[in-house]
Amino acid sequence: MIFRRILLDINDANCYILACPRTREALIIDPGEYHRDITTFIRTYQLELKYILVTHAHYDHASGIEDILRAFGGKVLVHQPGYFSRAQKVEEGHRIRFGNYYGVVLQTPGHTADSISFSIRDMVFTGDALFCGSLGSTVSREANQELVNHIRRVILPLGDHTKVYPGHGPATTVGIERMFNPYLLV
Amino acid sequence: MEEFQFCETPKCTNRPLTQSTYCWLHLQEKAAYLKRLIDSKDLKQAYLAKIEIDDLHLNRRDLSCAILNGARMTGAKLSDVNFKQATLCHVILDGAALRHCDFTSAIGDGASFAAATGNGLKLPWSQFKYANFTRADFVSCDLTEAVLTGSLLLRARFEGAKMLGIFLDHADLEEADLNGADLSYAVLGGARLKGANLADTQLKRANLLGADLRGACLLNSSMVKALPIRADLRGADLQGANLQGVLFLEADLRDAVFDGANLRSANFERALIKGASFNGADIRNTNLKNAITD
Repeated sequence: MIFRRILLDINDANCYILACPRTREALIIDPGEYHRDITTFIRTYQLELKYILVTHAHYDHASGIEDILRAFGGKVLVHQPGYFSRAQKVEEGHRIRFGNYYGVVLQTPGHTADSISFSIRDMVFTGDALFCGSLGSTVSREANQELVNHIRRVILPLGDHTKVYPGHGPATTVGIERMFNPYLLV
Repeated sequence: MEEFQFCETPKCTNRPLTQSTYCWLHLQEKAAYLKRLIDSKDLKQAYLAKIEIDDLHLNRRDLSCAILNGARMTGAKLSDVNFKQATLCHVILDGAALRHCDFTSAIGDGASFAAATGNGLKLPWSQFKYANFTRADFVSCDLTEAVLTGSLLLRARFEGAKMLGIFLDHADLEEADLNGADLSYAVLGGARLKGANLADTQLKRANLLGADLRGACLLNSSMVKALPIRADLRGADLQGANLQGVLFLEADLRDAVFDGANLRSANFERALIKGASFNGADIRNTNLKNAITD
């Protein structure tokens, strides 16, 4: 699989591009801005953008969408599609296929009600639900508990070797978080 | 659909080598085959699993997308060889001299590069999980976003290497020399870096959860917003380091030296700091509340 992390200027957010090397079909996750590294990468690898996946509708994860749609086309996949043009609602278990690869949407609400993660092969993209050593901010104790419950129920069972790519900060693994993340320790 | 072929030896289910109808095990004229192979210009996508060539000399060859699983090339001297997207699982390149070789996006889980030397090596986006780089000397190589999970880098030398976003989780880097390397966004969770030389390194936003950094030298390193949560930094030397916004949550910092370090907005919540030295450190906005001093 073709895979790149793009470090955005906006809030030090991470944007990810995944593509099938055979068909060149690509998926972009959380384009928080229309960054030159995104356009350069798509053009250099001659990718055909099929989907733009938004883990949640915050500006630092979604502000680049309209420009990317204009430049490369594609369809927006989001849990609450109201804010975007060419958007399709995705829910828990929704399969997303690009080329010879497909991944699955996991619902991980808590940081926001519409937060989703995306699991593909040995990788999971968690947006602002799970960070290295931390969890996403929440507005209430109940929302925090909901987030912790979802991380435990859908992310930790992916297995210790699963690489976790969050919306901000360094990558990590499920195993590292299970062992050392103070917010997940009982 | 690609037709799958088998070695001509009856009942052998191994795939035959490139330019042969036999697998390595059943190949008769091995020396003649190797000579032919070395003279061959086009080795792109070649199938060379388990071949054994000690002290191989190869210059300017294209082995991109080749399959060399289990090949033994101890002491090889390879110059300008292209291994892009090659499969090199369990390859043995111990003591090899690798000059300007390109391993971009190669996969080599379990490979061994013990005591190998490399000059101008490119390994970005490669995967060498559980590989052996013990005493390897890969100065200034490019390992951007490479995956070296669980690998051995004991006393290895990666001075000045580009290691942005590299996965070195649970790797053993005891006494490794990473002086001046760029380890920004690196995943070093659970890694063993005891006594490692990390002086002048870039560790911006590095994942250091549970890392063992006992006695490590982090002199003048830049660790802005790094995450050594529950890490063991006993006796580590962090003099002059830029530790702005570093989260030392529940870290063991006993006898660590922070003299002259920039600790602005660093967080020492529930960290053990008995015997730690902070002479001349900048502790503006530093959270030392709930740090454990006894």
